[in-house]
Formats: sequence, C-alpha cells, structure tokens
Amino acid sequence: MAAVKQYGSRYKVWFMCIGISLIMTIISKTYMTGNNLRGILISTVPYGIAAIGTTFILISGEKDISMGSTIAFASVACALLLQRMSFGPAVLLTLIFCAMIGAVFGYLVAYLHLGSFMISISVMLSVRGLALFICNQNPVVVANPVVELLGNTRIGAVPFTFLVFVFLTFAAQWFLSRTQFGRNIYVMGCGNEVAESTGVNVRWHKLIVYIIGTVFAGIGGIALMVRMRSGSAVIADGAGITVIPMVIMGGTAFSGGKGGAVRTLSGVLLMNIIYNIMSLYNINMNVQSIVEGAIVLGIVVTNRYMENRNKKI
Amino acid sequence: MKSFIKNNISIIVFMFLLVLGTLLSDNFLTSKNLLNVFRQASIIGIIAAGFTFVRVSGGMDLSLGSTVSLCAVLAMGTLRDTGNQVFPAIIVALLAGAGMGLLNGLLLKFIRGDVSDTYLITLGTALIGSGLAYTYSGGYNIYPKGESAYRIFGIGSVAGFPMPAVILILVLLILQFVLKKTTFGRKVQMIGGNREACYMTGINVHNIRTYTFMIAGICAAIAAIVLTARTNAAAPTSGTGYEFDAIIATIVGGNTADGLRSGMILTLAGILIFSVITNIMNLMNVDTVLQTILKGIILALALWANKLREGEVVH
Amino acid sequence: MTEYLLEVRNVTKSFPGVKALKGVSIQIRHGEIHAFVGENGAGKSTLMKILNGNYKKDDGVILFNGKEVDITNPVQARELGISIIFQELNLASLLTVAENIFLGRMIRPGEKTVNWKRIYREAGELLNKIGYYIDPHRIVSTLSIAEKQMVEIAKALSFENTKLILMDEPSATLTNKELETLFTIIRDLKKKGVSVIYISHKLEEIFTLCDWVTVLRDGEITGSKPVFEYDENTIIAPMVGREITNVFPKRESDTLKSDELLRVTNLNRKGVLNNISFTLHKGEVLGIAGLVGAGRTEMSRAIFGADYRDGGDIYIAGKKVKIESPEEAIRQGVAYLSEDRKREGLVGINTIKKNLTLANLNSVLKFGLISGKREVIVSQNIIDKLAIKTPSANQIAFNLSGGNQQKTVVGKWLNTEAKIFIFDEPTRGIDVGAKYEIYVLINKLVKEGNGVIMISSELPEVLNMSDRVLIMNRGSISGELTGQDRTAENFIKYAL
Repeated sequence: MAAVKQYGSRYKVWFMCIGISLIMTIISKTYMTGNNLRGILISTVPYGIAAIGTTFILISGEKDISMGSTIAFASVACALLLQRMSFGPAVLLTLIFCAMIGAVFGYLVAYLHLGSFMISISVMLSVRGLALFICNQNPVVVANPVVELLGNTRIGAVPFTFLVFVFLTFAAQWFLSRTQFGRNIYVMGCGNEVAESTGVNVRWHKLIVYIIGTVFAGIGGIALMVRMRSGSAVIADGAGITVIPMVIMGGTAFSGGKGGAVRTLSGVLLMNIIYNIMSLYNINMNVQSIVEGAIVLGIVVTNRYMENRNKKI
Repeated sequence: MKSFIKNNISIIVFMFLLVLGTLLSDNFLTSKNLLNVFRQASIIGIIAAGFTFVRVSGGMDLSLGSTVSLCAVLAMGTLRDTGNQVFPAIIVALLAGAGMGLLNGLLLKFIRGDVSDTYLITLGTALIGSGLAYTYSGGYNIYPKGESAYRIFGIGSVAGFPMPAVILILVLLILQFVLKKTTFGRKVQMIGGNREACYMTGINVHNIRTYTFMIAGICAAIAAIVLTARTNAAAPTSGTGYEFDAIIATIVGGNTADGLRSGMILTLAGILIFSVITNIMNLMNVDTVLQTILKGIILALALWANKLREGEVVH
Repeated sequence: MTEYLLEVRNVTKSFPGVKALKGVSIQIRHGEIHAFVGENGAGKSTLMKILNGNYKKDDGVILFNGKEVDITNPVQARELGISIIFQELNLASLLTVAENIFLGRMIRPGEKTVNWKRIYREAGELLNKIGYYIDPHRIVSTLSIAEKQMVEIAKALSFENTKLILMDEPSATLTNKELETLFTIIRDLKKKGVSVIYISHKLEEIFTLCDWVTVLRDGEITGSKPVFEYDENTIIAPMVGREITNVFPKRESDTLKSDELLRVTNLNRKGVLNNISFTLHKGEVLGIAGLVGAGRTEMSRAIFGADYRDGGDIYIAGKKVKIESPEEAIRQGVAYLSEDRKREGLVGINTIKKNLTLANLNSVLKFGLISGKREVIVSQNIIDKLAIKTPSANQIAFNLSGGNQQKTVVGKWLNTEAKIFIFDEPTRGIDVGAKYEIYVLINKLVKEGNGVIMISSELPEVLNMSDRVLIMNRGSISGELTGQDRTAENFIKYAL
C-alpha cells in the first residue's frame, strides 16, 4: 500500500494524463481520434523543448522568463539562414548564436551575481529586439525541402518532431541523473555554499546551465519554425507564462534542487491536453486564461500547502 | 564622499541623464517635454510606488499589469453603465485593485509561502485577472458616453502641473510616510530581512504581507483610473506590460528585497531614469526595435551598478 | 611513520582589524583524539578552516605526515586525508541521504555514469558500519537535526584515505544515544590510527573522550597538555585568562511562597506533546531538562503560539488566556528566545538598533510615528545595560559574536512588557565569559519578579540555575526535581 502511495505521488501527472484522456474518450467523439491526438503531440513540441531548457535553469536554483524571446529569435535566425545555406548548417549556426546569448546571460548571473529574474527580463527585452531587428519586423517564409519533410513525417502514427522532443527529453534526463555535472546542478539548487564545498565551480556550472537553457529554447524556436514554415519575431511573446507552469506542473521546484526532464515532459503533456480540451469545447480565449491561472494556483497551492500545513509561517 | 555617491547613485545618475539629454537634443529641456516625461512616468510610477512595499518585504508581484487592465475595464464599464457617474467608477476600480491584492495575500497566507511562492501565486492571479478583464469586456474596448468629470484625473492640471504627475507625487509622499514613519512600514522592511524571526517577534507577517499586496493593487487601480481618464477608453490589454515597467523602476531605483534599502525616493529615481532614457531615445528618433534592445542592455547595466554598491549599507 | 601526523609551526592569520592567530604551534599524533578549547573568537575555528583549506595562512608552516603542505582549498584537504564536520550543517537538503554522503563523488574511477544502486548500497553499508542506520533514500530535509548531523559524520567518514577528522561542536544537537554512537565512532577511528580534532564547549565531553587538550585564547596557545593534567577548574584559567571560581552566580530563591505567574494544563499535540501541565511562579527559574527530542522546544513553541496544538489551556496570573500566535503571546507578556538564534532570533541582515526595537515598536514612537531619535536612545540604552560589544548600534547584527548576538536577542525582549521569559538553550555556542553574563541576567530578571523557563541540554547549567527542574521524556513531563534532588543521577532516572 505504501509502495502504491509512493509510486502514485511520483507519477501522478502521468496518471492524470491517462485518466483525463480516458474520461475524454467516453465523453467526446473527437478526442480520441488520430488527428486530434496527433495535434496534441505536435503542439507540445516547441514549448516543450524550451521547457526542458527551463528545467535545467530552475533546478540550478535560478529563475528565467526569457525563453519566448529566444524562441522567436531562433525561428527568425534559422529562417533567414535557410535562405543562404542548407538545413544542417543553418540549425547549427542558429544554435551557436543561442549559445552565445546563453553565455552572456549566464555570465551576468553566475559571474557578476546579478539577480536571475531581473536579468532574464533584460535578456527578454534585448533578444526580442534583436529578433525584430534581424528580420526587419517581417515574418520570414521558409521554403526548404528538409523542413517540409520534418514537418510532415510520421513514424507510424506519431509525428517525427514529437519523437525528437521525446528523445531530447530522455537525453536531458540521462544527463541530469547519470553524470556528475547533472548532479552538481541539483546540488547548486540546494545552495551555492554546499556546492562550493564539494569543489564544484559554481560559476562555470551555472554558465553552462544557461547555455543549455538557451540552446534548448533555440531548438524549440526552430521546431516552431518547422511547424509554421516561417520564422517570426513576434511569436511566443510572454511564453514564460505558459512554459513555467508546464515545468512546475511536472514537479520541478521553482526554488530549485528538485525536478527532472521526464517530469517536465509529463507537465507539458498534461497542459497541452487541457488546452486541447478547452479548444474542443470552444471555450472562450478569455475563459482559457482564467482556467490557466486557476491551474497554476492549483498546482502551487496543493504542493506547498501539503508541505507547509504543519507550520504557521 | 565615496559613501555619499554610493547611497545616492540613482539620483546622481538621474542628474547625469538630465545633462546628457540637454546635450543630445534641443527639445529636451523644454517645459513641454519635461511635463510630457512626467506624464508618461506617472502611470508606471504610481504602480511602482505600490510595488515597492511588496518588494521590500521580500515578495514579487507579477499581477499588477492584469490588475490595471481589470480596474480599467471595470472603471470604464461603470462609467458607461451608470451614465458617467464618477464616484462609483472610482470605487469599483479601487475595490478591484484591493481585491486582487487581497487574493494574493490570502493565497500566500494559506500556503505559508516564501519568496519563490510569490512569483507563482501572482503569476496565477495575473492570468485570472487578465481573463476576468477579457470576460467582462467581451474582448472589446470600452468607451463611456462622452465626457465627464472623470477625465480630470487624466488630463486635468493643478497649478500648471499635469494631474497624473500631481497624483504620482501625492502617492509617493503618502507611501514614503507610511514606509518610513509608521510601525507598519518598519515591519514591512524587517519582514524582508527574515520573516521567521519577525513572526517569532510577534509581527503578524501574514497580514502585513497581505497589506503590501493590497497597497500595490490599489496603486494599480489608481494608475488605471489615471490611464483611462487620459484616453477615455479601456481595453482588456490596457495594463499589459506595466508590471514589468514598475518592477524595473522599483528595483533599478535601488529597493532591495531584504528590506535593507528602501524608499519612494529610490523608486522615483528609478521611474525617472527609465522615463528620461526613453524620452531621450524618442527625441533622438531611435528606432523602436533598437529601443527595446537598448532597454534590455541598460537594465542589465543598472542592475550591475546596483550590485556594485551593495557592499556598504548606510542607514 | 612520522612522530606526528600533523604539525603546525608558528602559523599566523589576520583579518582586517583583527589578528586571529598570532603564531600558533600544535602537534597532533597518530590516532589521537585532540581537543581544542577556548572562548569564542579565540581562534579555534580559524585554525580549523586553515587546515581544511577554507582560509589561507599568512605565515608559518604546516607539516602533514612529515611533509610540508600548502592547503589551498577543501578539495585538496580531502585529498590529503583531512575531513571536516562543520557546526553549520553543509548538506544538500533536497537530495537523498546517500547522495549527500557521496556529494561530488557520485562516479567512481572506472565508472562512466552514476551507478545509483551502488550509491544506495554503499551508503547503507556505511551507516550500518557506524552504527546509526538511516534509510539512504530519505530526503535530508525530512531528517531531524540529530539525524542530519549523523549524515554529516557519515559523509566525513566516507573518504577512504581519511587520516584526520576535524569536528567543530559536533555534539551540540545530538541526543544521548547519538552522542554515544559518536564517541564509539571516534574511538574506533582512534584504533585505526585516525586522529580527531574535537572542538567543544562541553568540558565533560572533553574529559570523557579526549587524549590531549590544547587551549587557545586571543589567537595564542595558552596550554597544551595531556587531558589528565587538567580538570574542570584548572582548564578555565588558560581559557579566559583569569580565575572563575563561580561558574554559576549565586541567587537567593524564595519561590515557594510566590504567586502563580503561568499555568499550563493538559497541553497536547498528537505525536509530540502528551498532557503537559505545570506552573511557573513569580521570581522562579524553572528548568526544563531532557534529552534532545524529548519535546521541550515543541512545548515552548506551543505555549508561545508558534506551533499548532490539539488541546490545552494557558493561564496567566490565574486568568485563562487565548494564545494562538506569537503576537498574542507577547501581548500576554510572554517572551520566547529560540534555540536557533540565526533563523528565528534576529533579522541578521539588518542593524542591531532595528533588531533591539522590533518586539516593541511602540517604545520608539513619538506622536504615533517612528522617531529616529527615540530609537537611538532606546537602543543605546539596551546596548549599554547589557554591555553588547559593538562599535555602533548601526552595525549589522550578523557581524556580532555569538554571545553578543544572544545579548541582542535578550535586549530585544527586555524592551517589552514581558513577565515570562522562555529561554531555549540560552548559552549554546557561547563562550564561558558571555555565559556568565547571561546567567547574571537571568538572575536579575527573576529578582525583579519575572518568571523564567530555561530549557537547556547542559546539565550543570540547568541543575544549578533552576529553582525547580522539570524533566521531559518523549513528550511528557516525567519528573520534577527540587532542592537536594537536583542531581545528574536523578535526571537520568527520569529522562530515559
């Protein structure tokens, strides 16, 4: 019984995904169709991949809401590069640019010790401006056969891009739980002093974490470009408000030291299922916002109330 | 001398910007331009003044933009539905603002939350507030029928000074007084430093924190009133983005989350620095896209400058 | 094998404004349990931190196993074979016990990735070996303070080439059971030839456990002898530079005739407190003794309204009162000085002045508003009265020594109308000189007609300072000692 409880709490988000899907299968005729499910999976990819990057940053104990700007930047940069080169080099170069952004970001937080939340606002502004700048505030259409292929390919019934997302998730998870570097990220999330005492060069590690974060956001932006067949500098505005709840729902702590990539996948999946249900029932955009807010509050309140119910302060 | 600079760096920077502006543009030091700056700064400033209380007690409030939107549509809607009755419109807005703050405070109390929790809680209430604003307005703009006395708040003036600026100054004066001279203000500062110790010293931490959110919410409401009075219209997006401007102004001005350094003077300096920089960029016809990039860079510089002086604390 | 494991020759270390070590020389032999004693600020921690690589010495030579070494960081110290257990726990609270034991060393040479199975197994084996088993899967934040301390000890022992372990006040938070385990571990280490440097304020432990004692005062060695050449009295002089004949100030107590000040009846909290009832009289020092974990702090916090309780009534001066929060408790005249000064006693990042006035802001009001002038007067008054050593009232509270921090906390409460003072471990981490001052203060408080409840894990302290001693055991009051009955033997009888 205790084992059931332990497993239940660890995998509760997965259970909710399955549970809600089962209920929806009964209630709705359109939910459990190939098209709809594929739609859900496809929609998870761009923000989902970015969410993995955010997971790294949150686990290390820092905060970040700038991922929307990086997503937009990557979509535009890659689209522009595709006009001059083939897919592989374009992607590589885009991700290098993202890594450079991450390096600056990480340097400001890790080496100059500036508050991560405020700096992420700074990055959010500058990178958004940069994105708008390089495309002259116009969307960039993409006409590239590789992109077409990627956007349309399925392995069996599952969209290829979703499989890429899953692969990245498991790769990230492996890194987090099986390498010393990955474990160091958790230790940093528990406190810089503890990390320093084991000889971890916290500044260097955090810099790398930020590079990982922005590169993943970049991959998410490229994925979005693939889906839209164009790059746009105005998309993903305020994506932080969507991505962070997905990560938190998965079980990663906003204050650091706890979480994981696979968990984030579960949070991303659940949120997208909920979005799908809301659009199936034509729930007004306005009400969607209220539902989102209620979900965020629901997650925070249930988690933290349980932790703190015996305390008065 | 060194410590004087350290303590008042935001004011010194502001002076420097005034000089810079005069040098870079002939139109800068005109009364028309300066009043314009003040007018622009007022909305952000009123919100920042309220946010200062939240910040100093160690919290964050991401819901202020949504609160402005909600209060804006409610105020305009009330004006429209009551045939331009000013008083009810104001009351409704203030209640909505206070209500959002109360919601934030109660949720935080319920979970016995810490600093990280304030981010997520206000993120949630921001979404709800925004959704409510959209739902109430149906997604459309709201216009009252014609003009009314309400417009004074936006376009009136007192002895030549624009009303928004006058309201800003009043708000700053009152809140500075509350922060520095009342026991409530002292408690707010100390809670930022160590909320467990304050609780064990008999301070009602939950209530105080709730009040800080309510002050921020009421200020957002006042800002919404000024904003809608100026434009005579409200949209569910009226307040979008203001939360970041207010947060930036308060923090760049030098208010710290541990309660050590705080004050409306700092907040005002932060507001003015940002407004003047934006103004200078506009006068020099800097592209809006470039302005966004520059804003981000300047924010980072300002944070770095603040960090440099954190070593010394003077009371 | 060299004669000495560790030789420190003429090491000096200065910080801005203070000479922490003025040319100290020490020898540690193989398999020796070596005590460092001295007041706070004497230099013990500084020396430990130099040996652990946290600080760099300014001058002098350190020889480890006969070879000169320059220890520049903790990782290097670890590689040499030096481990440390800090007083401040250094654990990653959201990670498991096993990971904390092997923190930073999750991958062994020869492995490519983390082998979690091995990690958990070896952690379990290590904990079994030292005789204190905790489920290695448990998250550290769920452990008690004593359990966390044991994890720290396991961590220090997990380095295979350890030859010297530095322990800074390891016993402060341990129950008797854990203390015995610790002593057994240390004696085992001695048999294996591992040396231990043991810093403690608890002289009884030193005399029970250690082979050699080095006394430091003001950055110098004032004595270094085998332990049997010292006793409780002769060790004090080199520590404080003067004779202290009375560790505890004398006081007349006349409490048997005094009025009832505080009465607690049937205080209950499921799983923690069990029908606790007692009375505190005016002018009385009521000691609360017991093993760590007996529920003494929990009881005080429940009375103070800081924790939930399931049942029980509180009467102040005979009248039933409602106390559901510290705010209400203070209004009723109760003051509580937490055992965790840093976390609950002070807003360390702010000034002494603002800390002193925090419990009673009304005292600095003029026409209902905060008056800077009044605050300066009030706070300086307290600083002078309690002889708090600080260059100014605007000094940051964290920068004070432990003893002065505690005085600041006491000063804060003295500025209120409190009549009932609950001191929870009032002299923990405080040196002999400051301890005496706190005792004098407590005596003064009760002489003025207040009541003091004193929770202490230091038997001599609680037995000598109290008029009556209540002993707690597993959430209940198991016994009361008065007069001649206040002995250690009687304590053991009720506490176990």
